[in-house]
Amino acid sequence: MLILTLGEGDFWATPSNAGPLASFCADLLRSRSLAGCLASLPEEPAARRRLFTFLRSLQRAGGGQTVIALPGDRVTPDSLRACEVGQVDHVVILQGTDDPADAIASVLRFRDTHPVPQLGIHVWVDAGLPGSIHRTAAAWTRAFGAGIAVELAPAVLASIADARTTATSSGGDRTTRELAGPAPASVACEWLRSTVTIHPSGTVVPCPHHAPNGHPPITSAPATLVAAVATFPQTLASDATCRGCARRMRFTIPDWMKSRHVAPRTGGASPLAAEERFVDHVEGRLDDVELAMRATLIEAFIERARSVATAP
Amino acid sequence: MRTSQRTFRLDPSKYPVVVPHVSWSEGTLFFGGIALRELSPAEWAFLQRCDGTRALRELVTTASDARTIATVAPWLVWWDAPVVRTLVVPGGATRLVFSPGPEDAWLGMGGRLFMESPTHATTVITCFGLMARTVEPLAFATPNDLAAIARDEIALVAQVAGVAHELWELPARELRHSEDGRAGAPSSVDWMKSMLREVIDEAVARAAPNEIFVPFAGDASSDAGVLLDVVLGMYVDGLFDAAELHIFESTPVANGHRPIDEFLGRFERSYVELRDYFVPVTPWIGRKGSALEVFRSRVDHASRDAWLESAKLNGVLSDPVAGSGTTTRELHAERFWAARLAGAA
Repeated sequence: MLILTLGEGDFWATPSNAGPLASFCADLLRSRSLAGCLASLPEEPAARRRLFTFLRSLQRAGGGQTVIALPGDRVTPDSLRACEVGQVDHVVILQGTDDPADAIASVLRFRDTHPVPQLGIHVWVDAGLPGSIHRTAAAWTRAFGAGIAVELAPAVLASIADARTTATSSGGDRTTRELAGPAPASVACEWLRSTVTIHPSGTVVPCPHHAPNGHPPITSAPATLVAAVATFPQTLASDATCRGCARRMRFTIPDWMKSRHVAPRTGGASPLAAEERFVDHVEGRLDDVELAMRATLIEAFIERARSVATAP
Repeated sequence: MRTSQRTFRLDPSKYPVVVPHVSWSEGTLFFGGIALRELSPAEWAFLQRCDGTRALRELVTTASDARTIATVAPWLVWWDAPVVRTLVVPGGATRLVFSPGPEDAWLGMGGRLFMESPTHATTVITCFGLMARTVEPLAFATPNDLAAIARDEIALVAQVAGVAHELWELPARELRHSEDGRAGAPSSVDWMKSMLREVIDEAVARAAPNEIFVPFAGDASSDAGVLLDVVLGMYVDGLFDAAELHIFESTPVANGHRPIDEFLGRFERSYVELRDYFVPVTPWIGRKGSALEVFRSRVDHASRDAWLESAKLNGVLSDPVAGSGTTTRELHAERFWAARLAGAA
């Protein structure tokens, strides 16, 4: 299970969201079904700090991979450096229709100053770029060889942007209209099977294609949230966005994200301030930790994650 | 290395399009992952102007242009008319074409797709995954490379033909049979058929087509065989309402009649009767040939030639007098079978 968040919102800092989200993650940690968390990088520095704190807390409670999604046109050496300092495991560059040259140059400059980066860098090329997918992917692979994994994005990035725009401009009419389609059928969604997707507004959506309208907010108890996620398959076939999820075997998170094993960071002093360091640091698999210790770690995680909401 | 030349036509009246397989990086032209030759930025800029909207006579204005076009000609596809790229969004379609792989529908009925797309809103659906097979393994070495270029090929051909396309990416035959039983590779054909039936049912309900096309299949375990089996089952069960079911060739008749005879043998004493017919596509055969050249990661030169030869033989079969060469005009045709439930009026 991977938790995915979209957009650049600061919903981590909202007490009504941070609490249930922490409890939900803790439930997944207890059941050892959490593989990690993917989130977008906020622009605002304080929001970034809160996000990194949450991710580190999750990571050190044994929550697996932490991943930052970064649109190609917003890749800069500074944004990559922020992720490195924030001790995120991976950055995924969402390469859309924009020319990759600037993003490639930014990554090269970052690599120049970080010859032994702790940060894994991946590129997701938008599968919806008609006619130029190969050239865009080739530009990245020629610049970095095997040093950066270039993959087709598991979802069509342009569609995600369109869905957001449509939902914003129509005030929710789109979802309502689509839900009035054919009767539901029993289809499974490959994305949903592996990922809980949380929109920065605090609503849970079946997959990144979805606008948040009409779906349950996260401001509920973890058990309710799990139940809400479980109801999605019943409505997937009635939603035009979801028609086809079942047949897209690639429409799932990549294997490297599924691994719960996190490689220990090596070398040098931690770039974090002393107060940011955790005594509950776990390196490796949560499965290797004794049950009592695991419970302690998870409780520490909840406390820390909830404190994010009230942090300055 | 299999980057052999395809065509080398410097016809001033033709419209060249650079194939999406070539890219340029720091002074070198690449075909997939293979470095072809040195190419200056100016030459690459010229090559990028070859988008099918201008004829060669408009493109070439200097001796340098002529040299460039001559050296990169093998990686151009030539069209007989200005290319109008139309991004058709899948939706309501009067014609649904189910293709096992990206190229199959264009091999079997590419001429008809070009000819009738202006009058028949068409969606070509590629049902199975793109990662398992290529004729250019050195140029496209990884599944990601293959998936990317196959999508580019489909997008270009569909845009030029003015049809919509969808990719379902169900596991192709090569991916279904997992020797090591790795997770995520379903080994059951039954599972595949049930999934396919569900998504076809959904696609038909969404588009409400008048016509449905599937490939004939000599091998029942092939992707085409699985697809045909599912669609025929749904047809017999009456799930297509008023839609007509047509079957297109998926093996060129030039390669021999035996596969077709064996295929037709399956329908003896069946609930489904087949009536074969031919569609003349002579004016469109050039465009079909060009479309097949776009699928360079999937279709080799020999296959393309076999299909074009098959169109000639179909022309003879469709009109023995005109097609036999006794007239000055050579006929090209594509072969289809229309399905009908036994005993139906």
